[in-house]
Amino acid sequence: MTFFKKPKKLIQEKEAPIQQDSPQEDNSKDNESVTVQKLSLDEMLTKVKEPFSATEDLLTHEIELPSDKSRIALLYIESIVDKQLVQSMILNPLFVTDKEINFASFKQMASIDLKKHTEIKQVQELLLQSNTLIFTEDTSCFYAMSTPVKTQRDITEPDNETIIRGAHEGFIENLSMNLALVRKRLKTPRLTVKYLQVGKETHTTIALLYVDNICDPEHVKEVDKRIKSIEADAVYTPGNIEESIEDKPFSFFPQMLSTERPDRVAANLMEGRVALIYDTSPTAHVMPVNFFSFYQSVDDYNKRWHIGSFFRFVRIMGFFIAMGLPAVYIAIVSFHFEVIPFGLILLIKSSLEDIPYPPLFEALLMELTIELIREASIRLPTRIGSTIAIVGGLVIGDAVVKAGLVSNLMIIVVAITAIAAYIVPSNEMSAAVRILRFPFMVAAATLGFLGIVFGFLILIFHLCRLYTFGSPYFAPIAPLNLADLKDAFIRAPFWKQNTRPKDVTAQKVDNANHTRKWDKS
Amino acid sequence: MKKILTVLPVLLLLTGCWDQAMLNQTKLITAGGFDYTKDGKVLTTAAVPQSVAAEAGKGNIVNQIFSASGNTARQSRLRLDRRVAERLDASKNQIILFGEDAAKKDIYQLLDVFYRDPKSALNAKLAVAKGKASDVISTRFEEPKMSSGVGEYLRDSIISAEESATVPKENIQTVCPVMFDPGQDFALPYLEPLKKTVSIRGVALFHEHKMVGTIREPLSVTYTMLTGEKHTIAMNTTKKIFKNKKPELMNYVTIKVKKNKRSFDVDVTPEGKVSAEIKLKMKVIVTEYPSDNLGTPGEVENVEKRLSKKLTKDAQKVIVKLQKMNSDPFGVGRHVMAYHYPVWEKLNWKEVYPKIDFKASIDVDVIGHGIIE
Repeated sequence: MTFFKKPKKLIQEKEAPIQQDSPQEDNSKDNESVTVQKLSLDEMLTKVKEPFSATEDLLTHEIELPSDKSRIALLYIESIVDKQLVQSMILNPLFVTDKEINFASFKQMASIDLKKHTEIKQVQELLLQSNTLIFTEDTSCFYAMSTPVKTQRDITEPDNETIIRGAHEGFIENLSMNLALVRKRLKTPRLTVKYLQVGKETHTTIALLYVDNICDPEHVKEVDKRIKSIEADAVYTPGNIEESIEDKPFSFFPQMLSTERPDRVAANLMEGRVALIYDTSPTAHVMPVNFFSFYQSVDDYNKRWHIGSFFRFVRIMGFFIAMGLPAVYIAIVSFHFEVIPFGLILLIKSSLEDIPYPPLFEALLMELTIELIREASIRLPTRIGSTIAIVGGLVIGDAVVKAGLVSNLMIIVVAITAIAAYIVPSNEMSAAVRILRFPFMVAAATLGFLGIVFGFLILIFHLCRLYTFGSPYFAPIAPLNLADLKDAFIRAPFWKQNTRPKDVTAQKVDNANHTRKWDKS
Repeated sequence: MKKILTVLPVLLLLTGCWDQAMLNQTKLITAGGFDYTKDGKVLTTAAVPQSVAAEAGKGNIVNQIFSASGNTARQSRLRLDRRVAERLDASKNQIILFGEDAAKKDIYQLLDVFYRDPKSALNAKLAVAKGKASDVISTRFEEPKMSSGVGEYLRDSIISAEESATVPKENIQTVCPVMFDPGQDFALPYLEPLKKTVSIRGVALFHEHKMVGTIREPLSVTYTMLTGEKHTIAMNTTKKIFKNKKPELMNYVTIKVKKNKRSFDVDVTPEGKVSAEIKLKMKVIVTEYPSDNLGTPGEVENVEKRLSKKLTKDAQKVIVKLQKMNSDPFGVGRHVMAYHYPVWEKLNWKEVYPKIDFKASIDVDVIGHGIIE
């Protein structure tokens, strides 16, 4: 217990100083901007460039306008600015026109992207966000135009969440494009995007998405609060954020659903959940989620509902197989072999007869081997990957048995377990299940079936106690909600799914799915 | 927290293997036999299949037969264990055989050990062997070379006899409550070892814990019918219903029972006289009738009449035998006990049962005669 409480205290202690610090900072910067107003253009430029030390990709272009001979200066970071855009959006309108033009008229005809700023403290941020800044001789203000370099990749289906039918779109590393992908699916004015920035130096932008009239405002407040409390120089990946804001950092289970599918995010938003989309990462996080969210796949909803239900059920079975099968095998062959049917026992016995070590060791050996193969195949390029398949499949599968190191049956158990673990649509949950199988194996080897029962008890205690962002994690089983089981163990038909899950405490519970009214008359 | 973190791994490491029962370090008994030696000791014989080739499925099974004697069943088992490498385990036992002499003494004394052990195989078949159980188990049977040993072979033989209704379905568990019931007895399959096969010769009847006699094969089917067995996969019986047709086989008819309805009445007169009657109504199919012409009018009725008469006679024979042996497998006593307890209390059932008025009748209804008429 105490183990879990300590980190919370730390956060509370840290929160206080932030609030004290921030007003002071603001004051100092305000003073600065006041003094700046009296500077000349040259002085202004040196002042602005100062914080960037000696970086050579920060470029300045000084131009004398032909009309009124006034000087303007363009300031941008070369590496993140599309020079073509600068040329076409700023320089061309200024020079390549028939009319004599001055900056004042340019302002009027310039695109919507041109924004006027007066606060000099914004310069850094704007420059780093791919803006081109225009300084004029009137140093009381400056103009910024967004000229980002287009380096985004194509929108492709995420490799880690492929489906058979349904949209084959996935998030990319560009926040505005990702938001577009979600907005495309939810054309409602109530879809709200809230930008948050994390990381003192990295200034990572996070978009907090929710549907205003469905989502529980408490969830939004909570997520917002937790993200704002993050104090770090750098936030590199969504994983950093996830670990910073999740409820139980010591739990094996993922407490946020990470997905790269905009359709999955959109569906979850409409269920009343909150989503986080990160700039520079294709991963989005959905919260609060329950255990069964990880077993839902977009594919389920594109199949006929009986089939979808069947596969949902198969996945839940997969959870138990992946977690328990090696443990059950160990328990049976080392404690309770009387449960094996007579017709099978001599077969099993004969395959086990000459194995030199206990079943636990045998199982650990093979499970670790499978994990080794898996890990190796992730890192290797596809062309070498086939080598792994041969080495892993043939050498380890066949030769190990022939050499008498591992029993035939163990290979079967390990293979089924591995397949069952990868059946989970969520990679995080799959990893959790794979890790959990090891304590189960140890428990089975020490106490047999009793050990497995203890293991599952502890697991269920944990799942029932787990809350994420104020929502019960093991809903709809604990607390039991029969109506919500329609999208947990099975996938009820669309026209039956007319309430939102209770555990997300949505503002509107009824989602008005009355799609078969024509059938009633 | 630190305490828990240190205690947990220590607990895991210290558990040891005190209650482990590793499958690859046990020898599974598939058939067990009990006899008494001349000096009154219990002789236990066990068949342990040992697979030779490691390749699964092709495994050649060699049966090892061990035997040891002791003052009690358990002691002989323990001594047996000492003669065998690895640990002996009876949880997958398929059959327990009693030598005829052992069965006539008392089978509960020998079975006691199975009822106390939570791991014992309660679904193992029980059977009585003509002669010595050890002889049956150590016979090198023709068939088991292919399958997985004596135990399975003997069990399958009994199962096939059960299916043809030659013997009633019994195992260690089903026998237990009946064994302690003063109002009911039971019967077990009676085996006779031939040279390279084993033959189920009928049923061995018990009174309390002791075997009191046998009913041999064709009649044992009638016995099974009388127990009220609804129908088994092949409840077949061949009966001689004519006397003087030539050749001899023309006198016979074979029937297969499709439905067997039993009504069992036990009456107690106010004076305390007990009488019982079993009436069977059977729907049967004629599966063999060499005389043919079942299509001619009246023939079916004729067969029905003769069959009913013959079967009733057989049933009566069975009951007379049972009363002579003083074995009450139909539970007449149980009925008396349940519905007429004051009478039951006054009776000395052991002495009354052989003398009660016990009738049986079988009424046959032919509902089919195969695909030809």
